Amino acid sequence: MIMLILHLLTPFWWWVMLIPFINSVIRGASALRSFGSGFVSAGLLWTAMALFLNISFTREVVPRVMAMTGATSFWMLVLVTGIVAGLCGGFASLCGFYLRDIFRKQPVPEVS
Amino acid sequence: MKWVKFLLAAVFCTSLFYVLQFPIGQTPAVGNFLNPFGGFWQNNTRQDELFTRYQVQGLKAEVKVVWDERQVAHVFAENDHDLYMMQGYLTARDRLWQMDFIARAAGGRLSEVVGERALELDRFRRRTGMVYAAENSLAATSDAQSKLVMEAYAKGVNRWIATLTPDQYPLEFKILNYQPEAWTPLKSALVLKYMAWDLTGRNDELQMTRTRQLLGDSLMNEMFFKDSDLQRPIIPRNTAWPFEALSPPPAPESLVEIEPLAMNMLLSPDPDIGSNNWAVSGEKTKSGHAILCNDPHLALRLPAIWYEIQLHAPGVNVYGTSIPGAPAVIIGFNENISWGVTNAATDVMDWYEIEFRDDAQSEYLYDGEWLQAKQRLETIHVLNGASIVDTIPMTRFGPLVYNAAEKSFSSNVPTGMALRWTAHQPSNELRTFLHLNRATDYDTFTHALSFFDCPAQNFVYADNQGNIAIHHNGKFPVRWQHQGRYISDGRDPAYDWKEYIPREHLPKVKNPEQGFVFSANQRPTDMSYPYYLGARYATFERSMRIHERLNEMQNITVEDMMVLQKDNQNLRAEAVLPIMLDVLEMQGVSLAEARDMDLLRSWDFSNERDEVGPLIFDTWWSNFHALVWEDEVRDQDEVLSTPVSEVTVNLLLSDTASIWFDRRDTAERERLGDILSQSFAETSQQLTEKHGLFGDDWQWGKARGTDILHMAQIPGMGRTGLETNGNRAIVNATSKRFGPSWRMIVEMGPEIRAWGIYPGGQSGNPGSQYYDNMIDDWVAGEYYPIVFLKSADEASEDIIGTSVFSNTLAP
Repeated sequence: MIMLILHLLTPFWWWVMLIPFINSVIRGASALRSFGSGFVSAGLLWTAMALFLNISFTREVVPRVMAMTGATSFWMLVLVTGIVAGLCGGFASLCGFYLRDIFRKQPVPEVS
Repeated sequence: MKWVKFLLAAVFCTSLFYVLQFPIGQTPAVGNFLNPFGGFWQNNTRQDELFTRYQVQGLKAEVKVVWDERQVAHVFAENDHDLYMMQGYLTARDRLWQMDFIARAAGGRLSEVVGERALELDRFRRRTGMVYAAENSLAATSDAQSKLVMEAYAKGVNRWIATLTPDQYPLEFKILNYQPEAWTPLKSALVLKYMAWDLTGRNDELQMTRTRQLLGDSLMNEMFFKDSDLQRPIIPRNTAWPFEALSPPPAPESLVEIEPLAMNMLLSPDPDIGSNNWAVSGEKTKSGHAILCNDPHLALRLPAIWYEIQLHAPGVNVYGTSIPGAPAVIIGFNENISWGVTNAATDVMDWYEIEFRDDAQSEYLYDGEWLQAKQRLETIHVLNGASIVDTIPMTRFGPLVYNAAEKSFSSNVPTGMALRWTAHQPSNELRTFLHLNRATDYDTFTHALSFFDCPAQNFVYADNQGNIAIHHNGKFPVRWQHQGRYISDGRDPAYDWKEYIPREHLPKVKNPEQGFVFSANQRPTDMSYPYYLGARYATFERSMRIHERLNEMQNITVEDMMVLQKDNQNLRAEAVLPIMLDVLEMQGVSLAEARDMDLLRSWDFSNERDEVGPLIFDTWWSNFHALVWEDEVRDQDEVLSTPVSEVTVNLLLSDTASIWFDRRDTAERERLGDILSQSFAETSQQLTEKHGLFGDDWQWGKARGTDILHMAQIPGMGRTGLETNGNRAIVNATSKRFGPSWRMIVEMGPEIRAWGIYPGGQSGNPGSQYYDNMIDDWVAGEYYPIVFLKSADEASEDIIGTSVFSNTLAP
């Protein structure tokens, strides 16, 4: 949610890294879960936005960017967008968790 | 252990950030580009949305803009300031990146945004004096109206830029990873100079000088400068010149000679750039009103070269095409007159050999004295690199483009020489357009042209009183015969430009007896004209065809004019192909060649897309022409330009036994038949190699095709493989990269009716539905009726909405 608002207000792409990072520093549970939540939240956000723009408006720009980048389909472009955001979010989130881990007094029991 | 994990993750994240944040090579910055909140996903049709009210700070009064269904803006302002401010604002809305890029390219500032790979191009622009020319032009833009217009336009562009957030930047800014910057009147001047270079910056003095040394004067006259019966000059032959001409300066006793050139350029010397325009008087039309037509042929690009607009304010109501980056309408019509342009092709650019005293290049020899060369500094900023300061010695002729030791960026640009170009001299061409936009009759039209120096144009004219006219107009030096055809000697005052042809002596004709006026970049006059103008005019085909058709047509309708603009008759083939085939038939040919011959025999000389004749003929002609002349223009490793194709045509028509057909490099005496059969055998072989076995791929539209590339050649942003008719040297002059960049037909009279189309769309946004929406119709040869409104409230079914622009949002 914060990510969405910041994205809408500012032109920076790297909110998909910074927000998951901060999130995990504050409340990261485990490495895997941190990576997962970062990946999913960032990936979903970008995917959803890309899809939203293409449902609301005709997508003349997509075939041109496809030709430019060599992407073979619309979905491939959406997927790449989503995965790039996902990887950014995931790894930043992981990084955040490890930082938290250093300063944590005792290990938090794994939540199943 | 925990530290290690964190550090590893941190390093990885940081690398990820770097990879996505910064562009690598020519790849855009991936993070910004993919981000759906700011990157390319945002450049969609949403940017086409129109609102009913806009706030544009700085407007003096309310401006109404009526939109038609092709998103052409019809601007209704209450004063000139608002009118041109809105033109700047709207052009920027649709074409901001294009304007920015052209101004950068013209001013030699591409390296700032794309880095070192543009450095030599930038240097070339600076050295040829583009910035110098634009500064001079701006200094000459001193009348109150021009100044107001230039400044209001820039203000409008900047108002638009101020409304943009980075997610709204045009796509190319995101791809090339830079930001729009403020517009200035200097940038508008640069855009106009860019056009001037495009139209007059072709020059082959270097090759011609060598060719003359090789062939001698009499052969040069024979091969390059001859008038012929095929030519239809702009001013009808045998027109009397009602003035006392200035006498030409005396020619020097001998001409400059130069060292052999390290070049092999067996180029077709026939230019691609060219245009048609004509006007027919009411006596020849069905409606009784004059009709004016224009189609400028330029290198086709996306975003499109032209931007359509209607500009209405007290004292002006004009419609036509404008150049993104420059105010006013360049080709168009108002309620009283219409006008169009073709390139004059008269020589306005000379190269002077300069002798410097020493390597400092600060003193040069002229008329036995050492003159000071001012040093002009040009600083080029390079992205991710050190800035470069270029020092250009300025001579009395103009800038020394390259010193003798440097390597030239272009094979036509000599080293060790200074460039003299009329575009360098102070002039204000904008003023011509401001006056044309408001012209009411022939006198005001003529007055408007008096401000226009470079690029010299053939201005065609028609008005609603039934007058038609054409003017070969520009600033031309009074030259001795063939002055400027070869390299000039910068030491010898005989090569100076001493005075200019008075405007009233320039070739022009009003209401000629034949009932029409026309131009197709051909020779402006017959040999009786008292001034020497130049010798690089278009070959006979287009002008002869237009002349022939207009001459025989009566009761002309607008539809007839559309047919003529799209005329595909290949006059060269019509003139020479029967002779070529007859001679070839007497030689022995292979089976495949016999088939190709049959295909040519059955062809009707029309360059339609589904014919195969054009492909075979075009290939054969190039091979044949090269084979005829290569031996004459070759000197060891140096291969110079061949004569223009018209010389070969004349030879075929007049002297099939000519000695020119003999190859100098063989012992035998070749005859026309030998050359024809050799070139035809090559042709058959080449065609199979290039287009496969005979089949659909040999069709002209497929085999030749037309590509409209993106201005920065970004893949996917252009349109390629368009199956078009026509060719160069055909009225429908559509070739691989060039073509009619705007087709316009205007029927004058109390109610003006007009049609137009250009290959592109009003929007420069590749994500817009208006980016290339007119291209398919352009290929198909369609025209759109032009909506020309008298007031903002006039009803028309082609209107899709009206927006009100004002200083404040509240009504």
